[in-house]
Amino acid sequence: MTKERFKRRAILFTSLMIVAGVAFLTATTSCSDDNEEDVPIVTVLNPTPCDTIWFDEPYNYKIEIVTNSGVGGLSMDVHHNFNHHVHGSHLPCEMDEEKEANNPYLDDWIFDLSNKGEKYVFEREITIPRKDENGEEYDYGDYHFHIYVTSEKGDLTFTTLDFKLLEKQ
Amino acid sequence: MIRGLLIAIVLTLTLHASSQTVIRGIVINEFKEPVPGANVILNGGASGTVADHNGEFSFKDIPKDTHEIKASSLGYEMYADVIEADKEEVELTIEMKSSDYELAEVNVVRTRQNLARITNSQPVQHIPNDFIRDNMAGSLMQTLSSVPGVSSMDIGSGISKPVIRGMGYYRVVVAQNGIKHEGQQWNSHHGISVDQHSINNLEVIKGPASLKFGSDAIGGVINILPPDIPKEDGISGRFSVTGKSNNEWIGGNASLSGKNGDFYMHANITHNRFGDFKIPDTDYFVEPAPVSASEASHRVSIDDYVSNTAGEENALSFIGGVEKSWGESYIELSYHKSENGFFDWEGMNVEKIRKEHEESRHDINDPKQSIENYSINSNSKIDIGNNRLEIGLGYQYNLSQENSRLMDRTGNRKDDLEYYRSKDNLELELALHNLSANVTYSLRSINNHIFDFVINSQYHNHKHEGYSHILPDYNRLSTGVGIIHRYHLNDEWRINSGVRFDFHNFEMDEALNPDPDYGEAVFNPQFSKNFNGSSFALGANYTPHSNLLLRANIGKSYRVPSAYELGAYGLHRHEGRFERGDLNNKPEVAWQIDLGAEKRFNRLEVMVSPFANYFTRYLYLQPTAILRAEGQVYEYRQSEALLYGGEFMIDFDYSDNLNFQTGGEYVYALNLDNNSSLPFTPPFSILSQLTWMFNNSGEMFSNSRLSFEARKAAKQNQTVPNELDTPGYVSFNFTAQTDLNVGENKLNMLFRVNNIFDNRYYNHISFYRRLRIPEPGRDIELTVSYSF
Repeated sequence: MTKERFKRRAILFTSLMIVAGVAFLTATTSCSDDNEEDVPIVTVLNPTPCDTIWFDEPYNYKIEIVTNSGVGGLSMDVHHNFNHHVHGSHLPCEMDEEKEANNPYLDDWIFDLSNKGEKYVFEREITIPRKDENGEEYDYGDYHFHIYVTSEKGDLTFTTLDFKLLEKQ
Repeated sequence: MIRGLLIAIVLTLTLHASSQTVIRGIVINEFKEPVPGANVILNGGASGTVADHNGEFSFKDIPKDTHEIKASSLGYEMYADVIEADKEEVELTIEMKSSDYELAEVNVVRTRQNLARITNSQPVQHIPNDFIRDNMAGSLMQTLSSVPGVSSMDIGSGISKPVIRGMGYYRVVVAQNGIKHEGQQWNSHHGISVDQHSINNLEVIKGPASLKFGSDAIGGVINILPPDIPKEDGISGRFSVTGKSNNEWIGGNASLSGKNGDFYMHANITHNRFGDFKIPDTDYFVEPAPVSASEASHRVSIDDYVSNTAGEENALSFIGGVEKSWGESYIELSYHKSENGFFDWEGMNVEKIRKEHEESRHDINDPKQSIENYSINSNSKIDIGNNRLEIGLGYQYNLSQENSRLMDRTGNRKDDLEYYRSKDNLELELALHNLSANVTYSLRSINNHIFDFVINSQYHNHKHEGYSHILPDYNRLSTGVGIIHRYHLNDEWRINSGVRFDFHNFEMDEALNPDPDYGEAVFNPQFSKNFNGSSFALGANYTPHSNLLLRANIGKSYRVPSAYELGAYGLHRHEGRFERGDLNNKPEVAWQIDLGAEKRFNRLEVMVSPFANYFTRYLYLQPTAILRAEGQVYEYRQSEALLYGGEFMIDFDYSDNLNFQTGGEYVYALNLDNNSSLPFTPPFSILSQLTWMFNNSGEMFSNSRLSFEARKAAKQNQTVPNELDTPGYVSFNFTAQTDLNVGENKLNMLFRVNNIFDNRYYNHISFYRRLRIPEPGRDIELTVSYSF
């Protein structure tokens, strides 16, 4: 009887030890990471947060991209922030009063940057027109600028900043 | 001959002692195979014996009288009969019925004396009704995630999808008694339309099962079996009410079963309503990973409630059946509707929308999903001598609608936008009609052999509507023919084998860009193609004695590419990526080796089952460097892949009261072309449970138990581009349960605390993981049910 009991305890103890051992092993040994992460590192050199961009005036966008596997593509878009929404990590800027959007400027640009190497400084001059094709003026005020960059392997990085879009008096 | 002689001698000898009799018999199962080791007792235990290797037994010197005879064996229903022993020699044949639906397969998990009885060479786990009741979580797959090798891909409280051995989506079939349930495989946030309350029996097949279930079952099968036929005439039923603190869940279920002579019925009605779920810690920023263009753009502050994750589920089902001497037949009607909100990371950035979401915990705003599912299934088994013909027919209509605040992404299509806004912001509607027919002729007249001849056919019609385009309309016709052979060589060996051929025809309609000024003019060209494939399996089971079971299985399975993998073209809104299929994708082919060992020592049971799957053309979604205005482009590509791993389980009865159980699962997934991982691979995890069962066969309480559970998941850093590494975690649960006997009836109370310590952790394969939203915090649940 006592022998049987001892045996049972031994089994329980052993199985608990196995579980604890396996749990400990999995907690401490992190398997080697065989897929290197290759999230592109993006630095927006121009514009800087809270900059002002003027209608009808060419602006030189400059973005530095660093990857391991090679640069893939870049997409930029501009949308209004008249409703004071946030995208989290960007620096807050001084904003105008909230207002209804009437004819906000909305556009995106996409560039294929494959075969540009592992490190690349993207530079492009873009002019935002004052008026649309119907001759109507775009709304001025607070805007957001979004930048997405991919590596050749498909890793994606996003960054964003606030700027003002105004008419030069 | 010798036996006949012996009988003759015994007969002559016993002629004189005419007041005594000999009862001889054989215990067989429904396949006419002997059941060695069956216990046979007379008159409530006055005499007892055990059937020998050939299933034979005998009682000598029994008085001539009426005797009550009972036979029992693990995995079979109790057999009871009254015999008239008025002759000197009585010969009996006792045919026992498997206790689960058709085959006495591996019965696992939590039944205390669960000596696994195996007829399959593949790991098949039978999940009994009480397992589902005791572990019932928010959805069927969350409930089943306690089974080693099965994980649940969740979206909040109400939607979940099955993952078996690291494979999900198109690779797992959810079937209702063999009839495939379609719809859940459509995408990552499309739940399965099944009411877990209506389920009595269920089996989980781990690993390729194309042989039985056709093309999609390359990763495994969740096969929902019909409820047992009530044993006695009369009405029985169950009412239950559940409340959960975390998401203010209120749910109720009523089920009724009845039998009158040869006819029986089951009816089930369920309603569940729940609010936004609560996560541990407040004032924390949830920062979506830079996964995709649209999603990456937001870091949202959320409070302790995850807004707009409320939902509702309504279900109704009815089964009517008949059991006659020629066989049995039933028809099943079911309706299931689920409505679920999605966390609105875009809207949460806008003060006005955020306020709307935070106004109530129970409202379901856009973005949301609603799925309605109607199905009619019937199944008939007709006995033709020893052989059996089984016919299953099914029709399913699945309507899924997704509503989101519509935004004009192209700057054009204003008319469309207005039109779909007027349709309650209908973003995407998918409507599926599905017809299935399965015919199996089971040849059982040759001793020790069973041949199943199988023909399956399925027709699929899919249409879409809504502002978003991702999938063209299509038709798919599949037909499969196969033979499965089960050979019971001797007591120790069973050989299972099978071969199957499948033919598929895919017809996709042309889909044109409604706004030719923007993007490509043709989303999908007209497409028609035939895909053919074959599968086979060969397996063996070896049971040298009743405590040890070894099995091995090798096989080839294949899977025809899904409509997404061929023809996806569009923004997958909730995933924030642009998906593109490839019409040149070919069927996936998998080669599998599967081993298993189960050993029972006195009070200890140990099970291990390793596996390896090699895919020649594994289909997966690969992020590309290409960016579009809608988001990053992901393409369905194919590569060689290797998945290996396994499950283990230890079940130890320390005493009659104390039980310790632990089970674990591990999968290693490798994309051999890229030498990288595969997406959504569940981490190594262990679920351990210590249960105290009270000795209370008393009048007041029965089945009382206390159980303490720990789930440990390891860190997952085998990830693909844009997938986040997930840290490991431990979470603790507690369960207390008792039955209060009220006369003949029972009042069951189940009290559970999930995540006792309110730990903050992430489930690697959960949809909200990528948004860095942790799993729900502490949850206190109470279920009260009354059975009569």
